[in-house]
Amino acid sequence: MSGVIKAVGKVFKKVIKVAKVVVPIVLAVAAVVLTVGAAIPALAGTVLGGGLASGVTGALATVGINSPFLIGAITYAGYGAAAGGVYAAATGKKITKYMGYGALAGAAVGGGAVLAGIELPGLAAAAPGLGTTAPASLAGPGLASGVANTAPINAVSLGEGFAATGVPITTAGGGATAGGLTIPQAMLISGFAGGAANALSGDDGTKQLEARGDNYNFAGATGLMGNRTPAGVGTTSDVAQQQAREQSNSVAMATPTERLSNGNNEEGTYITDPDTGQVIKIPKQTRLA
Amino acid sequence: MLPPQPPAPGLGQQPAPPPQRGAVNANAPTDQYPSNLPLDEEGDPEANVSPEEQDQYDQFVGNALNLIAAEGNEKAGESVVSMLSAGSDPVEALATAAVYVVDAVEKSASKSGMKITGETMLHGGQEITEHLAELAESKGIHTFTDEELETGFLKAVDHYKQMNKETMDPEAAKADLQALNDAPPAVLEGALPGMDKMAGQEAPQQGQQAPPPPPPPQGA
Repeated sequence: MSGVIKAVGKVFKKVIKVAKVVVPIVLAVAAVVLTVGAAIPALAGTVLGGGLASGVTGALATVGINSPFLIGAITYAGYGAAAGGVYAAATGKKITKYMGYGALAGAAVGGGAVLAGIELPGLAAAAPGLGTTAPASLAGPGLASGVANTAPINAVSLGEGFAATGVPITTAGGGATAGGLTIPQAMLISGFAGGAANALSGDDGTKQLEARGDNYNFAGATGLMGNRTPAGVGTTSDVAQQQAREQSNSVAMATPTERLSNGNNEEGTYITDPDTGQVIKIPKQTRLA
Repeated sequence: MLPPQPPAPGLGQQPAPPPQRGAVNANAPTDQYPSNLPLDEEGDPEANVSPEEQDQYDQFVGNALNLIAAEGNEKAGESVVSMLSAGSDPVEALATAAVYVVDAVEKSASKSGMKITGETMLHGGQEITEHLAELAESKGIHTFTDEELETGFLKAVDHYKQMNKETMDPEAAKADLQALNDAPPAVLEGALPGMDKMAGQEAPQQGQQAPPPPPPPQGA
C-alpha cells in the first residue's frame, strides 16, 4: 500500500496536546478520500466543481469499488458529503452514523457503488441537490476580486525555514502573491482561494475580522494562542504579565513560545531556538534541571 | 501529492500487531480509538512510529506552529488569523488556513531537500488543523464543534488533494483502493483501524432495518 493508507495505523506523539481533536477514525476516512482522489483524478475537480454525486458514482463503479466500508467512508466524507462533511455539518450527524449507513447501503445494493441512488433515512431530505450544488463558500469570489481590492498585507515570513538550511517559507507555492502572502497556484485555479483572498482584501476580510474577532480576549482565552503577547509589548510588560500570572496562579497567560517550550513528551522537551526560530527537541536525558 | 512510499505488505497479509508497550486501557474512549491500541498513562494511544518518523513529525508540526504562533513571526500569525476569519464559512476558512500552513511548511521542507512522508503529512496536518481551530476559538472567531472540526479537516484533505493531484500516482492509488476493496473485514480493520467499528457497533447490522427517519417537527 502507499503511504496514505499505511499512515492510518500509525500513531505519533503530538507536539502539543490540544483540547480540540480530530478523532482518529477521521484519519481513516481522510486516507480513503485521498486514495480515491488519487486513483481517479477526475474526481478531485468533480468535487470542487459541484458535479459531485453523479461523477463519483460512475467513476467508482468503473473501478469496481463495492466494499461497504469504503462506501461508508466515502458516503460520509469526500464525495458523498460534498468534499467532506458539508453533509454532516448540515445535518449535525455523527460520522459513526454515516459510516454505518454507508456500510449498510453498500451491502444492500450488492456492492454496487451507486451513491446517488442510495436512499438513506433522513439523508436525501437533509442534503438536497448534492449532485449539483457546490459548497457555497467555493462559489464565492475568487482571488481575482480579492486581489483587485488588495490592501497592504503583512508578508508571511517564517524567519528560518525548515531544517538547518533555513529556506524561508515566504515563497510558498508558485501562485499569485497578495501583499506578500503567496497563494498556491492550484488554489487560484480552483477558486479555492476565495476565502484567503477575502482575508487579504482589506475590506471584506477586515470587516469580518472586526465583526468576529475584534474582541480578542487574551486574558480569558485558552489554547495555543490564548494569550499571545500583543506586538510591541516590551520587557516591562512581560514582567508585569509574569507577576500577574503568578498572582493569579494561572497558566493561561503563557505566550505561544512558552507553550511551545512546554510541549514536552516522553522523549524530550521542545523549545524554540532563539537564534534560528526553529523548534528543536532536547532529549529527556539532557534536559536541564 | 505524497511522496512515493516503499512497498508495504499487501492487504492479503495480516497486519503486524502494534508494539505492546503498554496495557490497553479498558476505559478508553472506544468510540474514538481502535480497541487494539495500547494507551499511555494519559489515555492516548502510544506512539508506534520510529524515532526518525517522530522526529520528522515533530519538525513538521513544530515549523507549522512557528509559522502560526512563534514570537517574532507575529505578522505571519496575523495572516493566518485573517484566513481563519475570512468569509462567512468558518469551516471553509479553517480548511483554507490548514492547507495554506501545511503547503507552506511542506514547500519549505522540499526546498531544503527534505521529503515529507505521507504519514507525516496526514497526521501532522491533523494536528495543525486542531491548533488552528483552537487558535480561531481563542481569537473569538469561531468555536468549532466536533463535527465542524472533522469537516474542516476533511475539507482540507480534499483541497490538498485537489492542489496536488498532478503529483499523485493514480495507478498506485488504484491498486491501494482495489486492495482495500477486496480485503476481508479483519484485514481492513488492520489497515484502517476503527472502520469495522463504524459499521458494526453504531450502525444497523446487515439484515436489520435501518432506523426510521426522525419524525417531522411538530406543527410543521
